[in-house]
Amino acid sequence: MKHSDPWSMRTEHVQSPREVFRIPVLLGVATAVGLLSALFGDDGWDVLSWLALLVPIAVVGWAWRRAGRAAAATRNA
Amino acid sequence: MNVRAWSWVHKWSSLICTVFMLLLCLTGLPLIFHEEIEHLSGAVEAPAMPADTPAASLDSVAEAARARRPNDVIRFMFWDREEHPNLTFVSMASSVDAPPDENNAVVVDSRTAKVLDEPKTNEGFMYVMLKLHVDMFAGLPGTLFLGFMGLLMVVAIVSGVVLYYPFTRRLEFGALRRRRSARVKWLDLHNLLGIVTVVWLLVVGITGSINTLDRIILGIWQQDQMAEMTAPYKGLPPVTDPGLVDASFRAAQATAPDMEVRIVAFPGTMFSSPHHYTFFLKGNTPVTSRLLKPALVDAKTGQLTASRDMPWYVKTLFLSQPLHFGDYGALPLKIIWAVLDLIAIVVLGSGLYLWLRKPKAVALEEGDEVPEVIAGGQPAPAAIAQRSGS
Repeated sequence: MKHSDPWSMRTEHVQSPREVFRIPVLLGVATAVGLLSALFGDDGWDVLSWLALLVPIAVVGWAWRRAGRAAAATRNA
Repeated sequence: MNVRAWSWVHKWSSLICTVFMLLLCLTGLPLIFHEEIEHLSGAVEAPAMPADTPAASLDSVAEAARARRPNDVIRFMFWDREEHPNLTFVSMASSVDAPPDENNAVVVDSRTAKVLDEPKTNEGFMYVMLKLHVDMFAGLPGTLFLGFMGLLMVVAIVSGVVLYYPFTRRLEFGALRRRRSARVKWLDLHNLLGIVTVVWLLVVGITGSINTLDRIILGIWQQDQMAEMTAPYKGLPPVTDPGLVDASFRAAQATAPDMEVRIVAFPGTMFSSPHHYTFFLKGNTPVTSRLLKPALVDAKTGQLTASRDMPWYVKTLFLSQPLHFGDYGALPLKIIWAVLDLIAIVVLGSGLYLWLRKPKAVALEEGDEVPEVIAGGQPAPAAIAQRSGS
């Protein structure tokens, strides 16, 4: 699946819309759960809301770290 | 629609609304924390007294406020028992039909009926932030204009999601290509942050646009259901010296003992009839605390006239408020709201940057694949020719 260069971030093939939107749809579901659960109740529902809404934010953090590592790896190559 | 058409829609819907969306994101940031900021900036609190101190009669609370501002009339009283226990907030104005922004606030201790403060409600940092956010100091037209900009942002988001596919179908999810041109770096960031926050931004945008219609929606309710409930009073002289606040309060409370009164609108004001107090009661769950239920009480007799649930369009408005403000899941939710707001600012800023730096010259210089994706998979040179011609 991956390009010969593991840090290129390019895919070998042209992805289908299903492949491209799989993760965004999951993140959208997490966001919707987070937005709604705090409306349903307090305490546990609030905690669920925070955790669910932290998922998309955490994904940004993950992508940011990965980009930093990729840049470092290609610089050293 | 092909990719070029979507690209056109995305460009123009974004360009028109971006400046206003940046304004809304920036002014909205402190507004998320308005309760915390009010506490920190020393808003008045009720002095400590034994917990079982009985409340004073609301008629004496009203008298205290009128004595403090003898030339004004009371339009609203409201309570916030969680944030400000034992305080009655009285909103006064020069007349019941003065402009809605006129709000001479008097804070009264609910137990002693002593006036504690007359906070200035039309100055200071938070007031400026609120006005910029709600109407840009342009009244109802300003509010409706911002609502329209919100709808344009929804168009920009939808077209952005469509464009996400051609721009990323050769990229792994979350690709941020650091070792490429500035344009590619910002494009990747724009795509990632945009797609990750898309549901949140859609919800905040749509609910914000609904909130801009609040006066219109409540006006429709007034013409519709409230007119029905108060039909027998048609033609009677308006009540100009409303009394029996306490008796009316109890009559309203009796309609729903498990709910609590949040606001009372005095006779002749925007949310009442000329002959009634309208009490708005809230429930005790996150949803029911937003779905206020009105109870109309005859201001001459203190007897209940009618109480019924709000129609769907007012319920929609009421539920749009928490989903826009992010104030329904304690402080952590507010912090998350602020982080998502900051991400939205980066999406807007990077979008503006990508438009300002003309794509074709940069792409050609640095050998990026932008034209291929913009033109929907045509070979790059043909795509560039097409773009140059457009």
